[in-house]
Amino acid sequence: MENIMVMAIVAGALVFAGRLFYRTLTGKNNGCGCKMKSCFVPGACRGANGRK
Amino acid sequence: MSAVATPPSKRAARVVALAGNPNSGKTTIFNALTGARQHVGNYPGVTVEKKEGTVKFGDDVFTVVDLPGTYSLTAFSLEEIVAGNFLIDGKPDAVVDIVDASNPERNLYLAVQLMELGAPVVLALNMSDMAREKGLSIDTKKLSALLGMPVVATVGHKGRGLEELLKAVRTICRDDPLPPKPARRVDYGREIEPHLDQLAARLAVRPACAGHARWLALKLLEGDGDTANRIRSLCPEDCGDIFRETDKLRKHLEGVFGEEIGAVLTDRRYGFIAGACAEVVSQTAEARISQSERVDRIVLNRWLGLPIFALLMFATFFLTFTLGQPLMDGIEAGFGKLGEAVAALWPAGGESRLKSLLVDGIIGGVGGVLVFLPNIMLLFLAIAFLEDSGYMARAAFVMDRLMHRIGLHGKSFIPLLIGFGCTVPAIMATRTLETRRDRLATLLVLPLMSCSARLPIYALLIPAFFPPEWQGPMLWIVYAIGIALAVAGVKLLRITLFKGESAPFVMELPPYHLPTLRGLLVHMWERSWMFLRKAGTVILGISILLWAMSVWPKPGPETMAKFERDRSAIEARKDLSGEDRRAALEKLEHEQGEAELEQSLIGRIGRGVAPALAPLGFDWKISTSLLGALAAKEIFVAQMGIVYSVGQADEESQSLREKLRENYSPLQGFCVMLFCLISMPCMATLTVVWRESGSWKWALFQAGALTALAYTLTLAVFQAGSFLGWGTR
Amino acid sequence: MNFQDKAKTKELSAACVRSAPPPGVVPLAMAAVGETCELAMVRGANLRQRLADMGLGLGSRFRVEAGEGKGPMVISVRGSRLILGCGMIHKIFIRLTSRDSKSGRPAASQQKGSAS
Repeated sequence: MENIMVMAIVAGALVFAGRLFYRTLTGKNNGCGCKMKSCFVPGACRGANGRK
Repeated sequence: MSAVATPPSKRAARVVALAGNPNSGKTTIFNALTGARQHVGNYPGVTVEKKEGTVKFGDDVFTVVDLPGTYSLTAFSLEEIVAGNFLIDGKPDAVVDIVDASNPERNLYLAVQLMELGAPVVLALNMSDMAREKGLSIDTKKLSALLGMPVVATVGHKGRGLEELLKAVRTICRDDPLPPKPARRVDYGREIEPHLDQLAARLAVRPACAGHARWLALKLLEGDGDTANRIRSLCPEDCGDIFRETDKLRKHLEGVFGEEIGAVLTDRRYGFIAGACAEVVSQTAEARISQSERVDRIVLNRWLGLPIFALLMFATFFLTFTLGQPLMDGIEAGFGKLGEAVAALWPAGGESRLKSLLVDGIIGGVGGVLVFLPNIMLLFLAIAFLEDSGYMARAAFVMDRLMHRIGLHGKSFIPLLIGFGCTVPAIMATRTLETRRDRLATLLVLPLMSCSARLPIYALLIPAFFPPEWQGPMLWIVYAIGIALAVAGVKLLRITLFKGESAPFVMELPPYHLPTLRGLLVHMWERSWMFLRKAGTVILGISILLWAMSVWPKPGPETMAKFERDRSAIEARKDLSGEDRRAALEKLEHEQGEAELEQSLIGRIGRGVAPALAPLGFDWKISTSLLGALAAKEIFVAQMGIVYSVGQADEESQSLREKLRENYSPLQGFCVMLFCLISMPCMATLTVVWRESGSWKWALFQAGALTALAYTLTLAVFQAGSFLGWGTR
Repeated sequence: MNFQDKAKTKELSAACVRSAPPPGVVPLAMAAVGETCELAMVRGANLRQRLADMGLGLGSRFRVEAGEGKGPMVISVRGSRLILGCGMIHKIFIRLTSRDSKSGRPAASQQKGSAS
């Protein structure tokens, strides 16, 4: 039972890391993980998320 | 009055562009209109990217676009190009030109250009309360008639005048009633006007140019490249003729005036504005020296400027560490208790994977990073204060001389300062730099400014290895090494890859601005939230994976069987007292833990990499942590926590620092910090560099060069240190 | 455009770009804090346009607020204050028009004379 839970958590983390890696490669990871609001340079993150 | 056929609600949202000089309060108005909670900084060019928001006014819906601050439609920096292109090519339904009412003359320059462009402009005289304080009063009716655009007085931060502004925007969007024709236009004098008219008439034949032929003619005359391209696409057949004609005309006029025609036209526009201001603006009270100027006499003083700057920097980091320490200790103790409490859920001595995951992986990993939240919050608070107060521009001034010597200018210093917070936004802040050379040189060395993610590494290692009286100086040394390397790096780049002069450094000095406590706290919280989110997502995920990698695969059955045999052998021995037996068993368990860790994936990888890093004084545990740090620098701390808690099966709670002190020498500790400071930046930084520089080449170059530099420097320091016997045990 | 015009243009642009500044015109670096100056000439078309856009056109008057010698300067013009980096103080040429009673440096009389 415990082992299944551990496996599930690790698998979840693996999926998350895969997604992070994908997002990084496609330039969607801006490091701060924010959507415009809380950046040092306002709007900068929107820029990283896909400039128009 | 506007009984149009289509009901207003059915129409698509109108696009309203907010334009204006930097520091005219554009972002404040944008926030007040759209209700978006955003950051309002104080140095020119704070709005880097196109930001949109919607506002509903009665039946109308407007899409408001906040453009980067710009002084004119002649663009210099990247952000000004963005603004100019949107105003000219984006064809917004209305343009709100935000004018700092306390400084009308300079601010109206953009308005005049917009007027010449023929854009549907509404003028917002912002900060009209400040203007009144300065003793300026502006006759809005007269100004409106002169420029042919509605004029509204607003006070952005109090939300005053916004309704009138929206009303004016609605009117101009509906074209009903038609906006008044400007009472006057800029008269360029009898030398220029006839030629201008002729050129405009020629362009006006084209229906595509008819709307703003005069403006196009003016821009052609100025020799504006963008306009030339525009003409080329509008009338490809005879653009050659037009260009020849303008070139001839420009040469002729420059002969007459003895200077570039652009400068002459600008002068005429300012002349027009001066005339308009004389009619419209009246100075009711004696102008007095503002508070800002008085403060600047000291802050910008030739002799005091640098010491004040150094003092502020010192205060920033002093605050970060001293004030943060007790809070940090509290959180550390809290996580220790939490770990014990979670561990207590399982029967003592039993082996449980889930327990190990929770205690070693998550609490040991993420908790180890979260401990530094107070320091990071304080650092962010200090940076928010420097930004919001307007000191950043002063720092640019103070540092200009130094920056000039290494081939950059003061403006580059602002991104470098932001780099102490986080490298990613700092790289984006380089957009305010005008030339690509300056930008690339700045962003390539930016990772050398120790970002807040590296703070936990220093904060973990310094107290572990250095006596209290050395902890402060040590931190300074690490930061200073980063800065010194950045300086040397820029100089090197300037004499090799990016030769040539840097762009002229002209920047407006915004008035000081006493930050509100609420504003500071909001900014601090937003950025700390970012850190928390990172801890809860990236660091959590990677910690779990690293934990799994350090637990699996298990050693083969022979090894396990050997430990089992040893265990029963010890238990069977009759000659040992209870005390000794427990100690022997503990030792055995420790050995088993180490063996298991070495057999695990992370152990194998670590030992694979370790030979390469051994000359730097790193064992395989440090090596794996350095690999983990590529995802985010804080993971170094998390991973050290994991390997040292997985490896030790004993229950006694020894803090990570104590374990580090037991296993490494101060020299090794210093080398780890040095390597973390210089080596390859985190993934997020690399991608941002890639995107901002437009090619993978620069990102890879940066990663490669920094890693090589880190390797050689650390190698030199460790070998020299070991040879001389510094910091070894 | 006839030949004379062309020659005149060349001569003038050469005078602006390369040759020594006309008499009475000094680099901005020579100005002291508190002095009021008039912008006389700027080397580099880009910089000239940039300054003009920010309200510092040829002939405009400004006051030196801070910075002396080799360092950057802060000037006030048209109600706003601008930082001019130290790369620029040798590219911007001025005429001194007046000085504060407070600033101690004696006025260079020949400069003053040619300015008015």
